[in-house]
Amino acid sequence: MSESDDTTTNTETVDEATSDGSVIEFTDLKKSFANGDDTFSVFENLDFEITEGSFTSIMGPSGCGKSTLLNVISGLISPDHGEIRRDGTVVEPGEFFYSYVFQEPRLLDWLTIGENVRFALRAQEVPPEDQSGRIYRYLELVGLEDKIDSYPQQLSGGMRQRVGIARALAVDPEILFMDEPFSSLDEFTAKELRQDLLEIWKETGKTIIFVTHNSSEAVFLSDSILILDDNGDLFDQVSVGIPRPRTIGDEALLETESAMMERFFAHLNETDTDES
Amino acid sequence: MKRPRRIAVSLVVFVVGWWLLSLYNGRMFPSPVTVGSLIVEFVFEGDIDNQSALYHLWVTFGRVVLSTALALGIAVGIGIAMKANDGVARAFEAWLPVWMTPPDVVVILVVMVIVGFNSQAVVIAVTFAYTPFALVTIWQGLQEIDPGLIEMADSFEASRFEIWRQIYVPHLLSYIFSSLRNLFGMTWKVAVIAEVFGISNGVGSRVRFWFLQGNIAEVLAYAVLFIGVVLVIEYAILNPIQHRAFAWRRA
Repeated sequence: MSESDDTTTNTETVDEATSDGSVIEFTDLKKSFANGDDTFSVFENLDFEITEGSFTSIMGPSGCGKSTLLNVISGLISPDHGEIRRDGTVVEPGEFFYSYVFQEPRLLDWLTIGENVRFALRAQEVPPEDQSGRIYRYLELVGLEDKIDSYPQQLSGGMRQRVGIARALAVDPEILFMDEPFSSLDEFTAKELRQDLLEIWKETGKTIIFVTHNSSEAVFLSDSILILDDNGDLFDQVSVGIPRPRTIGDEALLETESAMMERFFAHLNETDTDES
Repeated sequence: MKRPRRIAVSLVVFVVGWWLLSLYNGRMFPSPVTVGSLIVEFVFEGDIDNQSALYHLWVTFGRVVLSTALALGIAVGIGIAMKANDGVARAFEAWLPVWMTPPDVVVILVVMVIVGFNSQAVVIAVTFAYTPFALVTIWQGLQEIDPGLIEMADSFEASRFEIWRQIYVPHLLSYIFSSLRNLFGMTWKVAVIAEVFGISNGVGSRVRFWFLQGNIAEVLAYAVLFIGVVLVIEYAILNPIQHRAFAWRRA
């Protein structure tokens, strides 16, 4: 990957392991939906950037348009207007090669774990002779290589979500989208998976865009956090410069989180007063 | 109690109960021994039409299998069309209750008047009567598919073909199977009724013949034989298939 030569952007990164990526800029993104005669604006004038190889979280309350934003970036929905540039060159949203990890594992219960991963490989037309090797490699990465012949219902919720992660990584995407992947797990399992996700991220060097409404999760995981408010306005972009490995409950993480949340609530109060 | 023992005990209770009934009135309730020896005679030496009971069973069995397969195949076809097109779905949803309502006997008689008193009439009548029941199950299966799985498949850009092959079909398979078992249990009975109405072979035709002679023992012999075959199919064929095909569920 080449160093970004775009001097106009002020890349607020991150730790050294990920700072050499090129930059994906999103400019003036707008998306609204028709609602009868009215149009309902999900977000507008969104400007932000993501460094390739970095871990970026999109945070905000339920219904703020996090998932819509994810769908716009992935090209599943086209924006009303806006521009995406990679290293200064305009690209179409659908041009990124991405894969998804969903809130639920979304595995096919009638296929073994290995075959579930193969489903994605086959869909992506990975040559058959490469498939088994990849399946093993990525299941090993998430620590489930010995479950390759098990069925999803034989695994715990956390294990199933790991399979979802392995499946998404196995197709070797440029960007890995994760839509609240740990929110349906118990906190104990979620904690463990967050640690492991960071390990996996370090090992694979993927660009991860992670949607969450959990502020401590966002701070613990991310290089950068985009915070949307109820109106879908991107009102804060937090860079988390705390070096890794990070420890859950670490003083610096807690401070970053509370400062971030203070700004968020202050902003909410402001908009409330404006409206009333 | 272990399963084989449970089955043995209930069979013994059944036969003893039957035998006690026959002691009370042997003409109305022929004893198990009488019926059993008739079965042996019909199977190995033939009924008085010189055909083995197995031949009649086989004929009925053929009609049942054919009409069950047709009902299921048509139901799957319509189900897929319903899934693919909202208009088709609305039309069938509106008409399904109507289609399920006519009494089997009416269907059989009307079809026989139109098609004639032959094997095809039995198959058509049974297929017509039971397709809607299969369709209800298949349609339910198609609606219960998790849209999240389709979204997942789309996110990996899986082709329509792969989505059908790896998601819709395996998901539907359990519905098809349970529908198959239900249908099998029902189509036997209707096929025999249809045969009673005027077909010259099949179990129903022998039941009609012996009933008209006033011989209950022979009617019972065919009934017992018939029940035996249905149970063998259920436990020796359908159960093991289901057990293997749905291994993932026992996880």
